[in-house]
Amino acid sequence: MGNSQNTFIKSMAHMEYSFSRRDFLMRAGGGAASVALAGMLGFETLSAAAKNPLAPKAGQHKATAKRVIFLFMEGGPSHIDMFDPKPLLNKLHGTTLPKSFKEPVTAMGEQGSPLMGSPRTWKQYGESGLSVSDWCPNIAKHADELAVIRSCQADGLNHVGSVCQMNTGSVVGGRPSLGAWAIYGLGSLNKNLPSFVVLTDGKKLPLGGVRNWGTGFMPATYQGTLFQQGTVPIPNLDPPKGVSDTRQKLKLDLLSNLNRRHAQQNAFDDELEARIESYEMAYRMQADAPEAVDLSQESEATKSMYGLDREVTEPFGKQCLQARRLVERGVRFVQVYSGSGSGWDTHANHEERGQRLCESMDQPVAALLTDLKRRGLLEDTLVVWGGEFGRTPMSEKGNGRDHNPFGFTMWMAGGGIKGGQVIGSTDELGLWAVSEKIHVHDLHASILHALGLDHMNLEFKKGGRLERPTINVGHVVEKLFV
Amino acid sequence: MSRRKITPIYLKRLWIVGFLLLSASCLFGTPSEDSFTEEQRAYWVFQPISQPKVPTVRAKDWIRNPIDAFILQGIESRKLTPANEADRRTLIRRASLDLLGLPPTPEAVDAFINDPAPNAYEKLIDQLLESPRYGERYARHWLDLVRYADTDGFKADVLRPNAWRYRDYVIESLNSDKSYAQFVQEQIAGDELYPNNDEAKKATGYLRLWPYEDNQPDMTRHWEATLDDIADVSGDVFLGMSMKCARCHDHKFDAITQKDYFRFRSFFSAISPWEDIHLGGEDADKRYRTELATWESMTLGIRTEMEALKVGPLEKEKALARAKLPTYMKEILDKPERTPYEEQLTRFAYKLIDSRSEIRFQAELDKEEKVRWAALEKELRAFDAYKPQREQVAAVKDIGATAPKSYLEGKNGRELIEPGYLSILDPQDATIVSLNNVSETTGQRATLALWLTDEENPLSVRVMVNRLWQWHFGTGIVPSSNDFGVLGGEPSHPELLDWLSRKFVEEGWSLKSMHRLMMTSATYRQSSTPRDADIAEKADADNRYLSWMPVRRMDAEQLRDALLSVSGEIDTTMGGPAVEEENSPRRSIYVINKRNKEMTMMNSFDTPDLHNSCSLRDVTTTPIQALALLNGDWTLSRAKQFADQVLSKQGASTEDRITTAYLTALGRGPTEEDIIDARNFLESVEPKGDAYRTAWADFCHVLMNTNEFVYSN
Repeated sequence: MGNSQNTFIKSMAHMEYSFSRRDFLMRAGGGAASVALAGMLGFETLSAAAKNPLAPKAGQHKATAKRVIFLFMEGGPSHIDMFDPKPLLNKLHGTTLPKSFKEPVTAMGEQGSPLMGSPRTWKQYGESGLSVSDWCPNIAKHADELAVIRSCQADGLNHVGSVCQMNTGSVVGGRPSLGAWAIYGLGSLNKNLPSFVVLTDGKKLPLGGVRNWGTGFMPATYQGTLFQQGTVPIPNLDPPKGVSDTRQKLKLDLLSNLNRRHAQQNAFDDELEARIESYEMAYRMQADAPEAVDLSQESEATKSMYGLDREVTEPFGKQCLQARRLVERGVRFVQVYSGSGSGWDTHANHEERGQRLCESMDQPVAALLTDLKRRGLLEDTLVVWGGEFGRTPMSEKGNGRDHNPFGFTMWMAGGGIKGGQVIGSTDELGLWAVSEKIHVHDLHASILHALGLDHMNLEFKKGGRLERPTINVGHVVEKLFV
Repeated sequence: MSRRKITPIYLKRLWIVGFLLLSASCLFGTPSEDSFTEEQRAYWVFQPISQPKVPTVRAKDWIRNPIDAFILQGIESRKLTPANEADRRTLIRRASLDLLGLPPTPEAVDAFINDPAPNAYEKLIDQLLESPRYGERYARHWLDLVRYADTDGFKADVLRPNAWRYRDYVIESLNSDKSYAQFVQEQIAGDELYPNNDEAKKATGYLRLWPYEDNQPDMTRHWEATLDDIADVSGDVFLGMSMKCARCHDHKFDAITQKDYFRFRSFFSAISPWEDIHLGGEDADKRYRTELATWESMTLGIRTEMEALKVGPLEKEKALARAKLPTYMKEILDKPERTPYEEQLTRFAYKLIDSRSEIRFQAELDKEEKVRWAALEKELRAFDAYKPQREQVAAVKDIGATAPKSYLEGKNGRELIEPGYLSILDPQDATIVSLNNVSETTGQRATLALWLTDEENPLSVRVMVNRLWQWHFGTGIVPSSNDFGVLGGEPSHPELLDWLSRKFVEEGWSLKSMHRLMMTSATYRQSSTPRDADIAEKADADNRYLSWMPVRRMDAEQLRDALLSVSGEIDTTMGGPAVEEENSPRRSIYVINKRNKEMTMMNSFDTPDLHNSCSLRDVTTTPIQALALLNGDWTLSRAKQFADQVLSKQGASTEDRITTAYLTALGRGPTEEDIIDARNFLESVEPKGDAYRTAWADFCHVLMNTNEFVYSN
């Protein structure tokens, strides 16, 4: 550690900067302009010296995306009402599932419930002629950007396991989330913000909570950070009440003195140095994290595009806009929950609730795609849309739909994705995936592939077992990519 | 076990594995049970524990006990020199944090420093080992290993109201220096080997620590996953072998076949969960029944009315829960006679039906009934003082004297599996012991427990000794302490490991003897500054040969306890139900371990995930931790308490107070520079009133944030 300090000082001297390292870092935290400076000057040296596990790393092959925005419709959006039209379903409305379709074990255990038609109108959009329902008219305008996967499959029947699987690959907790694997494989693109951020559109957490962005058996360094609503996105970001900025600075200076003296006597430990740095980063975050989520800096036109001026679109619109601001600032993996706390779980009143949920989501998602594109970010930002599963064509309680992990839709856009295509299909009722079945592991393998990571070569040694993000199965869906 | 369900994913996995095996077999040869390679047979872990001679070394003066000879041999062979002995202040802080998880009080430091006895340090270690705080500290290590939690996990993360009895059992076992052999036996087969013994009943709570999903209707899948989980964790904890790989295929590197996995798992195949295993024997039973009768007669009217309200809705909910089970399960429930396996599934299904309906029946009450129900509940609660609490644990019993049949759907088709050990050690099926005084149980677990605690078992003894080494020195002799396999790390001192293993057995499997031996060695007493840092870094940067003592960060529990201890608030009440809030003054071992974690201060300091066996905590350093310690209300409140204590001494000078603060937080007095810094900081405000108090609180807060506080030398 003494060494790392020397290396640092040498490198600084080499660059003829006269201020102390601490000064430098404080200044670096001061504003957006100095962020770039910190990235340019400090990052490599510091990280190399302190063996920073978040130091940026090259991928295993050429990436098509640098970042991911995962739009998670939690609770299970109804694919057959949005992206997977099923005319036969309307014809068979009110009848029971024909014998030729295998009856699945349903989550709520209702057996033999009649099929429920979908009163949607469908249109074909773009040059590709992709079918999208009247519940998603705005996303539809981006049809030629979307690769719609209609044959997704998952293993869980219940929410908590399924949300967990869509995030970690396993229905049981304890494994690292996909975002954590990405950060583990690639490191962070910035030094003043967490590299993996989770946003929710309500007060409720997604089911299962922290484990969905946790690291399981991996060190917590790679975990997602849940941003809170409001102006202070990270817990404890502000000094305690009654501690003025001046006092806080005095305290930090005293702490720094004590730690420096201690370090001189224990000049052999990298960890001590890393801990001094963690206080410096915390200090920088204090300025940068609130700035990153401060939407007052956005134009009225932009805010209105995301629907911030309408009650129904405002919550998710805000999160989508924040997601764009975060990826712009080098956050590598952003996960945005719509309906967090199982909002999309329409077991009853499906028609009414589905409509409102789609309305709350459609405009913000379309705006995000537009905004990313006009800023040149879409080409290397992978946008993923979907839930933990879809919904059944059979009704539940007369007017609801049950969980459907047997065949459902997810789509991807940007980040090297070949838009305007449909991959795979479900049967004529949208119950089971029948062609080109894509398991959650395949989705994960593909997302990692876009980031330049090979899911079978991304390994973490846990005990004596080499763990991989897809639990040793899954394949990249080659068709997704240009 | 019965049929392993073959899902498409599972098939896909097998296929891939098959391919990998095929390619692997070209290179290494396939590790099937009949054809382990010579290399695998020769692997050190499977060899009997040797009886190594204590090596002869040059610098004999340095040696305090045989451990040092082994260590010094390694140090000398790398042309290194051991570090100087640490000073007494460092030693007492290191030993206290290590054994008790608490920093020493200024009084304890003072007493130790001024103890003229030549064996002052040995006396200190004995004293620390006698403290009940020791069990509270070392239990945490064990609870990490067995993935102890106070909740189920999954969506509802339901509280396990009696889980704490297992936690207390671990604490008490450690404090009483129970032999490790007995400790293992009680946990795996307490009901079979020590029937009618309360300690053993609590111990078998070990077999209930798996995550449980209370609304999973697919019973076979859930039950099979549960047995997998028990086998995986038990392999990690007791054998130090990563069995999990072999669940789906023969282990690609270690000599564990897929059949071995299921042989091992079969030792547990007869268990079934029981929620109410009573403690206290016949006397407690009698007392309970008498007291219960009194309470029942006092509350007869209320309960009768409640019963009448409840019975209909409850039955309805039960029927609903039952209807939602998959067809195969309903068919099993309808059978007049069931196989032992079906009986297990049935009990598992009723666990779900009963708990769901008990929660849900209230929803069936109409508005008026709901109001009445609430009123009756309130009335009933008025008699709570008379209602006896039955002391009971949730544990397991075997489903009967006949074990369910276990099958493996593997590469050889469907194969009947009997319990057995790793076939490289013993290819025969295990001979199940016959038990006296116990019936309706298979003896399978007793058989495994006795094998694990056989003093010649090459795995379990070495594994535990290695864990103890890791807990004292930061890294095990085998650095991957849950995995002694080929993919784990090689032992740095294989002979020392064997010597310690023999010693451990010789000392009656006493953990305290081993703590004493390790901690009184010259190796442990070294300073954390290497004699020559440059040479040390070149020759042994990772300090595998221990030519100095590693600096260690406190883990979450040590840190929280240290903050409470320094602020003078710590509540040392022992045992009992988990404390719900981190802001309680109780020791951290008693704070609730929720599987669905919240982002609390403690969790930011790398608490384990509670789903996997955790043999070594991560030590991450993040800004989130810095923010929690620096800006978190709880930490600042501790600092205020600490400051108030320092200020409470009448007539003390500022310098006296600074000294007190340093001694309390860091176990040493301030240097001249420290005093200058402290004065500058404190004297920025007038020495009176709230501003002065705040300045002191801030000063104490800074001390609590220093690396010196958070790290142990």
